[in-house]
Amino acid sequence: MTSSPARLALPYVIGLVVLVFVPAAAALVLAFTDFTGIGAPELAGLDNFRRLLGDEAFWRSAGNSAIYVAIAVPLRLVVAVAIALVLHRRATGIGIARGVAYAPSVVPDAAWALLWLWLLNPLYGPLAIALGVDFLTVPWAARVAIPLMAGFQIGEAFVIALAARSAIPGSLYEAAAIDGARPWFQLRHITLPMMVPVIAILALRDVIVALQVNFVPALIVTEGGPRYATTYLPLYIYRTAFRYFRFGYASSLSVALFVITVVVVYAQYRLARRWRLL
Amino acid sequence: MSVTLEGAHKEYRTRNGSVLALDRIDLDAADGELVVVVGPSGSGKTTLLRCIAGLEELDSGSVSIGGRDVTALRPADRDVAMVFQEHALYPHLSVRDNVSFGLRARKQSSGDIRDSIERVSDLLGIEATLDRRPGELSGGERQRVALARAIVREPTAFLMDEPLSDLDAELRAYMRAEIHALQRRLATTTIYVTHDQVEAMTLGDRVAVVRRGRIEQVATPVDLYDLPANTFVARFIGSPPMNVVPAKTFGVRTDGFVGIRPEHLRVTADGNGPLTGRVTHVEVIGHEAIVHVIVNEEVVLARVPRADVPQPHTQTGIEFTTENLHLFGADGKARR
Repeated sequence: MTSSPARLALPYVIGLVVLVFVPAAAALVLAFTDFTGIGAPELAGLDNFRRLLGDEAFWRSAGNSAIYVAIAVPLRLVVAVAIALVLHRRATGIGIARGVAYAPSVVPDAAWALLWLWLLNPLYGPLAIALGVDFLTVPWAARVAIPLMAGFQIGEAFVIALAARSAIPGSLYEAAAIDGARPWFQLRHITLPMMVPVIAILALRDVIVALQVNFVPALIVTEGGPRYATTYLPLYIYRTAFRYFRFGYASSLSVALFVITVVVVYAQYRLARRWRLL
Repeated sequence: MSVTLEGAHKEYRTRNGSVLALDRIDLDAADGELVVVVGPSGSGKTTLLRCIAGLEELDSGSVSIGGRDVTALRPADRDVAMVFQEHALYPHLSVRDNVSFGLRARKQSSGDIRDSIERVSDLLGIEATLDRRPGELSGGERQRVALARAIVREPTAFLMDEPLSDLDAELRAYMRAEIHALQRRLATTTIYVTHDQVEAMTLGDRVAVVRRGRIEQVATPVDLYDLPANTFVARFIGSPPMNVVPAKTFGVRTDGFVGIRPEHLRVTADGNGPLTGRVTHVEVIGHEAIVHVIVNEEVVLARVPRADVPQPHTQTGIEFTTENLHLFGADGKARR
C-alpha cells in the first residue's frame, strides 16, 4: 500500500511521464536519426547536429528568437509590474480594472492573433494607419509587432507582481513618509528592491516562455515573415517537421532549443545570485 | 518643542455608520516632556499618534508642534519621528541604510550622514550591527535600530507606538529604562502610546488615560494613582486594580461608589473588623498575596504580607483607614 501523498500525486505523475518524459525521450532519440515519417527511423549519429551548426536558417531563427526575448521579456515585466503598482490600491472599480488588465491573457492565442492581424493590416488596420507603419511587410516593424502583442498578455506576471506588492507592509511606507521620502524615492528604495526577488523569478520564467511560446502569432500574423524576420525557433522547428517532414532534424532542433533555454536561464540565475537578487 | 492637540476629532466611516476614534481631544506636551498615552485596545490612542504624525487626517481640530500649526502639513513636513509597534524596518536594507534612510531621502551629504550614523550608533550601542540586515538581529537589537532611525534625524518630537510590545518581559523592562534614559538625555518631546499601565507609570512625566476616544485624565503618575478622576482611571491604573464597589459595601452612606487600593486593606487574624467577608481565593505572589474576599456580595481584593494570609473558605475581618477611601459619584466621577 503506497502512502497517501504518493497516491494523490499519482495522476500528475502519470501525466508527467506520458505527456512530457516519454515525448522528450522520443525526441532525444529521434534527434540522432533520419526520420521522414515514412518507414523506420534510421540512425544518423551526429549528422543532424553537424548540419545544424552550418544551417543558416537555424542561426537566423535563433537570432530572431533572441531579438524577441530581448524586446518581449523587459516589455512584459515593465508592463506587469507597472500595472500591479497602479492597481494594488483598494479603490472603487479596482476589481474591474484588474480584470481588464488580466483579460488579454484569457483570450485564446489564435483569437488574439487574428485580432492583431486586423489591427496591423496595412490596408485597413487601425494601428498600422494610426502609426503609419507597415508592420506586416517591413522586417524591423514585424520584429517589434510580435513582442508588442505579447506585451498585453501579462495576466499571470501581473497577478504575481500584485501579490508581491501587496505583501510589502504599509508601515514601511508610513515610516518612509514621515522620514521625508517622496514617492519616487519610495519606489526606488522600498518598492522595487523589495519586489526584486519576485521580478527576478518572473524574468527567469518569462525568458523560458518567450523562447518557446511565440508560435501562434508568428504563424498567424506574420507567417514567419517578412523575409523570415519573425521565423522564431518554434516556427522553424514546426515547419521542418510538418512541412518538410524532416522529423529527425526537427527533433535535433528541439534539443538545441532546449539546450539554449537551459544555458540562458542558468546564466540568468547565476547573474541574479551574483547581484544578490535571489 | 511642545506638541499640542486642540479639539482633535476623528471618526472612521464604516459600512454601518461611523466609529468615533477621537472625541474632541485636547492634549499638550511641553518642550522636552514625555507624555504617555495609555488606554485599552481600541481606545483611539494609536489614532491619536497617527494624527500627530500626519498619517491620518483630523476631521476637525488642530495639531501644533512648537507653536506651528501643522494640521494641514504632510508627515514629512512636520519634523517628527515615529517608532512603530512592529519597528517597520526595511528588511532589504542594512542597519546602516535603515538608519540613514531619512537622511538620504532628505538629500543630506554623505559626510553628514556618516557622522550622524556614527553618533547614534554609538549612543545606542549598535556599531557592531551596522552591516547586518534586520532579519539577522535579535528583538532588542531591532528595537535599538528603530530608535536610532528615529533619533538620527534630530526631530522636534518622537512619537512612539507601543515600541516594546514585541519584546519579552525581561527585555521590555530593560528597554523601558533605556528609552527613559535616552529621552532624558536628548530632552526631545515624546508622545508614547502603550496599553501597559506599568510602562505608562514608569516612563511618563505625565500620563493621559484614554477610553473610547476621550481623555479620562491627564496627570503625573503619582497623581493618577493617588487621585484618580473617575472609576475608570481608578480601575485601570494599578495592579491589582483599585477595589471600586457600591459605597454601601463599606458602610458609607451615599449613592455612589467607594474605591480603595488593595494594599490599603488589612485582613485580621481573628476574623473581626469593621468589615467581614468570606475568603474565596488566595494568590501568593512572592512576599505578598492577593486575597479575594466577598464582602456584602462584592468581591474585594486585599494585598497583604504572606504572614497574614488567611485560609481560603474562612471568614475574615477587614480593616482600613477612611483616609484611603476614594469617593465617586453615581456617574463615576471622583468627589473631592
